[in-house]
Amino acid sequence: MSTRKPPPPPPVKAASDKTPAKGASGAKAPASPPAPPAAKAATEASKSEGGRFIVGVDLGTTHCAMAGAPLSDGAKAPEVVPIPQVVQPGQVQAKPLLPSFLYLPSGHEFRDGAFALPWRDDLEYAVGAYARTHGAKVPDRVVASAKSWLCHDGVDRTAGLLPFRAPDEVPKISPIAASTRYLEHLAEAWNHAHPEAGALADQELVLTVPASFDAVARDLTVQAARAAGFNRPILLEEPQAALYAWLDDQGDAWRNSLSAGDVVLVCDVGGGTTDFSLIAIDETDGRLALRRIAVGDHILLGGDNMDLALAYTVRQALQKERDIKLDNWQLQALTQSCRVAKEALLQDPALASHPLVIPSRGSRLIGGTIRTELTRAVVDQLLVEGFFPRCGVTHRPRQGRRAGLAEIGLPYASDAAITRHLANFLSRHGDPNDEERSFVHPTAILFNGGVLKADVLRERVIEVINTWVANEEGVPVRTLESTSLDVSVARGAAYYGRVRRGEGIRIRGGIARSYYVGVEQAIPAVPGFEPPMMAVCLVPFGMEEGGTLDLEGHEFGLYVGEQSQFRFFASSVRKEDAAGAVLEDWDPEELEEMPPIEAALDSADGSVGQRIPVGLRCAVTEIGTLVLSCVEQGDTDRAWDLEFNVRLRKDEWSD
Amino acid sequence: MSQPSFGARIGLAFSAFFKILFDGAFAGRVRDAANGDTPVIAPPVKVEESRPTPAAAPEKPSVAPAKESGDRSALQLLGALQREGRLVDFLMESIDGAGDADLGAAARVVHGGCQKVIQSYFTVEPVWPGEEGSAVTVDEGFDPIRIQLTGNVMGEPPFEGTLQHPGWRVERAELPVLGKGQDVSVLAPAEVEL
Repeated sequence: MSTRKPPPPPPVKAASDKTPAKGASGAKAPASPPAPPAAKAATEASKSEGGRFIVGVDLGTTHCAMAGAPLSDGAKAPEVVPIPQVVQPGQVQAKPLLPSFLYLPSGHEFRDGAFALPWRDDLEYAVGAYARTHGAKVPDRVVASAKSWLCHDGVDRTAGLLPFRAPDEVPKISPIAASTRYLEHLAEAWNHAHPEAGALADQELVLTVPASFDAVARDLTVQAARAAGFNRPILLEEPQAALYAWLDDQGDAWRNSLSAGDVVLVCDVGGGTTDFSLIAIDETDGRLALRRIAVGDHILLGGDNMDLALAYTVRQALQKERDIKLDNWQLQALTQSCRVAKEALLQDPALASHPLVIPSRGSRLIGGTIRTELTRAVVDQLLVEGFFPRCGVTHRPRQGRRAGLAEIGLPYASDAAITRHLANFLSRHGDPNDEERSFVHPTAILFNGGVLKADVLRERVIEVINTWVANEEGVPVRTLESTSLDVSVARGAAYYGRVRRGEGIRIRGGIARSYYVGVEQAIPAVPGFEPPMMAVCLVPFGMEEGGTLDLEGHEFGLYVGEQSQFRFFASSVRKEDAAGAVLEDWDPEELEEMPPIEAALDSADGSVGQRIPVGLRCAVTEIGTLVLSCVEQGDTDRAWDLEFNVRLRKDEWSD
Repeated sequence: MSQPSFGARIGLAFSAFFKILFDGAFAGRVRDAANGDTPVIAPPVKVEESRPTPAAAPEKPSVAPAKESGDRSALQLLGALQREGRLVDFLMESIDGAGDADLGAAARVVHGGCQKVIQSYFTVEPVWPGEEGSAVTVDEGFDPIRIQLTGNVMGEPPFEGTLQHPGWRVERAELPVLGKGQDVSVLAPAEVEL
């Protein structure tokens, strides 16, 4: 924490000239200097059209994509920017997607310059296509799924822990640093492709995050972006970006597809994660408005799980029926082959099977190649029935065993059934049109993510939702046709950059969770018992960007020179709690404990030990992050930022 | 100049085929070479002798990097076809006595991988998009590079005929950019698992 420079938060409302918001922190400094000059300059530059492009970046779990649109020509659709990347040692090719993989080679593996890029020839690591393919052969040296680690609160996300469980010899980096390297690569690719436009750091950058990312994961994403040199990254939820891409495709015709009262379900199944959001269409003063009303939990489940499921099944069959044992290298080849076969079978319902070939590892291809096939029955049973089973809306995902001594790997979803996760999601939120309904009835659905290119999977999702809706005499859901399910998030992000400038329609919604601070109840002490905890709502659900709130009626006494800590909670379902609402008792399903928030009160005049009465203040920044601070009561206007202590693991702070 | 083996010549012929097809300057050099002007393929560089090794151990490859021979992008393409589609493995192996089932399985590997390379590096389209076997008219002023007349070639255009093969032409050719000093004569590195 001490070596990295955390992001300077934008000024909070009350932090006027005489009390500038604190710049750097984590360290022990009282509120002081304003945002560094670089960030300020960029803000002014973009105001004066100095930044000439709006660039959308999709920092995905398995792939990144980037799209740009010129500011000067509002009619021009955002274009995907090809990303040069190492495809073989010493060979660079531009591709629309950058696989989110980082390879950290041994000193003996490659010649100097093997990972040279058009903009830099001394790189000692590889990002992208080659990192992925070669990493499959040398698993201890490849960093994958850094984004999932970024939102994993069971580990210290600032510590060097990737590649996960690699031997000591491999230099490890933190999930934040890995994300920084992907973003640096994208920035350099942009600068290389657009020398005339000026550096990407000075463009208006919209960075997408899963809707399920909480305030901590968003904060860490911004830290990664700033470390990569982006002065002012604006965050956008991925499902919203997908809807923006659809709006961009439709132009003014979108009003023919959606009207007041519609509720759009965005169903995004990517390579590694599944993300749901609900967006309602309202009408105010005769104008249609879009409002994001709910986001789902972070579900580590996606297309890669499907390919692996197929490969494991085929491997097992080969061993059982033909006594062929595959090594790990062959399993990789089989997984690739399964992906191709899966896509063919899902695309063409007339196919009964598709051949699978596993090449020999040595040079003898003829006779050494194992041939088998993937049948429709296996695809139907494993993918359609395994990942998208028909189920009731009251069904819930199976919970995994939460063993105390379990490994601290990624918290993969223990139930692969996406439809059960969907049932859970829709049932947790109230229908905006009719409170009597037991779950939200979506009226339209927008699909996103490569997996859902398959008609049969989209049809299954629609069928399942329609069955649920029909049981409550609802109306069947309509499909919003989307194009380019792979890159629409990046395109939608670039479109959002324009929306922020007042062109096009904006999805409102504000912050996707309500946040609470833990306060000990003031009751007579009982020996042996900790005083009961109550949760006070600090940030209400839906609080909009740019807003600032002071928590009324709660004063805390903090001591100068000491680290003060608060327990912190979040909820994605308690939408009615207003700021200041007090919960004395709550359902653990409703409130999730987050890393504690801390403030280090340091005083320039050295008044250590002095007790200072403070109130809590929260602000939702323009870029989409949350800033919490302690404000001294009285006339002094001193303020200290509260930081998430992400160095703790979840088991170290929660019960 | 040493003579490449028959197998090596198959690979060479394949790479040269693509190179001639897609690289006009190279094609010109080939034509000149055929006329006896300059050699197209540089004489193979003598690879340093391997150090003697104990009898039981397999011979180790030379530690010094092999020098490059031949045209870089031709070798680069051949390397990609080997890497993705195992083409060199396939062509260097004898198929005498191999069963059609085994050959078919291997051919699927080659087809799938090489197709991926071709689609990634090139956009290939028919010269004359039309049904094979359909009646076509070749107008006056046609380009004989694009259209080849066969059979009873007599008289003056327009010619009436049957489209036997629609041909192929490359709309886009984009090989990955090669870094300086990359040795593309190594089509596939020897792989040693630790």
